[in-house]
Amino acid sequence: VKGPRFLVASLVSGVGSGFLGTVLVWAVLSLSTEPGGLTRPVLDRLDETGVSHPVTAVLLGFRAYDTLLEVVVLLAAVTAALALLPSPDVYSVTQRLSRAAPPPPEVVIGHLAGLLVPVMGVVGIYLLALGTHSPGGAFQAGAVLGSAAVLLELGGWRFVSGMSPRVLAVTLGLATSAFLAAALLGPLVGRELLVWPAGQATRVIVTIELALTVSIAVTLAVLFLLATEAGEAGDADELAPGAKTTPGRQAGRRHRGLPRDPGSTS
Amino acid sequence: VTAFSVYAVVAVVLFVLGLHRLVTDPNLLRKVLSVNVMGAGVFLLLVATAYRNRAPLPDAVPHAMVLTGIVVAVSMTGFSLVLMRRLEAATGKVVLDEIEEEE
Repeated sequence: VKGPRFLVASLVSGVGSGFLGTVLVWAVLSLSTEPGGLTRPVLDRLDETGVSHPVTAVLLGFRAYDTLLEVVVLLAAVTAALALLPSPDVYSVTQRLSRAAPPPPEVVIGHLAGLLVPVMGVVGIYLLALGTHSPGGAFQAGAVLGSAAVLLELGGWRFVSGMSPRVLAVTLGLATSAFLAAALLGPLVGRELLVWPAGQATRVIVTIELALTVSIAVTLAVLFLLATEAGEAGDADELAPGAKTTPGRQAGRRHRGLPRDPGSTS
Repeated sequence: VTAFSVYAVVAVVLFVLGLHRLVTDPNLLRKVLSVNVMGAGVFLLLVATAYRNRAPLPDAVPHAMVLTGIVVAVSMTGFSLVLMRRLEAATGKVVLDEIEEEE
């Protein structure tokens, strides 16, 4: 692989990256260190947001549109990943996920999951409950619970892949739906989009956070499952006739221990 | 030398190393990892920037942006890995040079 082309590319990239790095170091070191920024404005209007932690106030109050679009990015990523499987129909994909035979029992991971998942469940719910007044919130909780779901899958508990297609679709879309519904509450009471009704801000934010946690956890677990699943996808034969015995497919199947479903290859 | 300048320089170094590897490495998995290293640099810079003036409380806006950025980075990584596995299923390869040679 390392021909003259590689050397030229390395040289050009090395010099270019070095130059860019120098400029960037100069730029970040010339940032003002005077007190300022947005700390003051955020703290001054913290009371209006219904939460007492500044980061949560920014995420679900002052800049809620950022968070709304971020949730849309998550949904778009998992939708695109589902669409990449050979059958782009979401129901057949989730059925494929749920039909796949369980991986061979991983004794160590199974025991580890049995020990860790209850703790991770408690930590996740605790992080979610902390969110309104101290560091924590839906994203941290979703990440912990998503890892717990992945651990369960590896240990042979089919917590996400065993979900019915409908339940899976609803949990994946829950955050976006709840957030959009909440966004429309403002216009309903005569205020702007994404402005929570006066006095109800805490309730709205906690509801959104709950929906976010569920969707983030399930989205992360599904992305993980899809990344392991896509390598052994059924009708890749159509794309490359010689691909049937390629090392990648063999390795992928050995890793998950999934037998080929004869009905799905036609 | 302040703590902020140390963090800032480390952040830029991470970003630049990731960029160099992203451009030069033909292995798709390493390209995905390189983008994540670049992202780590950006997040480090944002987190450090929020506290560079040593105010009693760090600026919440850059911190919220990091939280958003991490979720976007994870989405991007997950989708890239699915793309890569799909390519692997179709061609059996994940290295760009080898894929080109075949054609």
